[in-house]
Amino acid sequence: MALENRVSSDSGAINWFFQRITGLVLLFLLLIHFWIMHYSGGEENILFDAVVKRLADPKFKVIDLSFLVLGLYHGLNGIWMVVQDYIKSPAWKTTIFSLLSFVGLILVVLGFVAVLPISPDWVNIP
Amino acid sequence: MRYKWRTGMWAWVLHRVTGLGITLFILEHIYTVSHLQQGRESFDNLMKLFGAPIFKLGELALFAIIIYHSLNGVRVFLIDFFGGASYHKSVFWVLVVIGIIIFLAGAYPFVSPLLAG
Repeated sequence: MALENRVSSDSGAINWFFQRITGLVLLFLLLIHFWIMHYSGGEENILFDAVVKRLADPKFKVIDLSFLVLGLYHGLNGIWMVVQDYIKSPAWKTTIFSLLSFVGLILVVLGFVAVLPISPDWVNIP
Repeated sequence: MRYKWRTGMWAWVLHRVTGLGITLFILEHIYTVSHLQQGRESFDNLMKLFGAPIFKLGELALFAIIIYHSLNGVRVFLIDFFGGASYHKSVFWVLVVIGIIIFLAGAYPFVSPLLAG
């Protein structure tokens, strides 16, 4: 990739670039999310039956989990950028980077565990 | 670090603060969605709780925070990729107006069930 030839890997240029690209994609996912969840339907659109029916559809699983992964990347990368502005000690930076990566991984796993198993049968369980 | 408190500086600080807030909200959102596994009653009770005025107020605050972060993100995009550094201040105020319009139009569906009792 041309970008990598011009900048050193820890200059932050790649983080900077991905932050803008993920931000743009997130804006579109946000619009879809808001339209479907809060505007296109009534109040019952965020209740159990409607949510399960939606999330049982693989298409929505892909959209929502992409939203989660990109959102977490963008959010945690944002925190990482703030940290780099204030923390200068390499040891602390490494510690915080590992912590943020770990938190991100755990949250992605929790999100997948919550969303992937959802099936249409769930609406029949009392 | 020394700060110059002008429009761009405020916009930048607010972008970071709202970004942190939205990231923390993802935690709450994962918690909410994971309630689906516990069945209809558990999930719908949580939704009923979020219908309470205090949570509606929080929802409106979150809505405003997300609008700010999204629109200022568009401004950052213009500055970084479309030579927007020369006109970033006017863009800021145009986006403030657009943001207020989106907030008022978008807040209505959130508040209307509350107003209806």
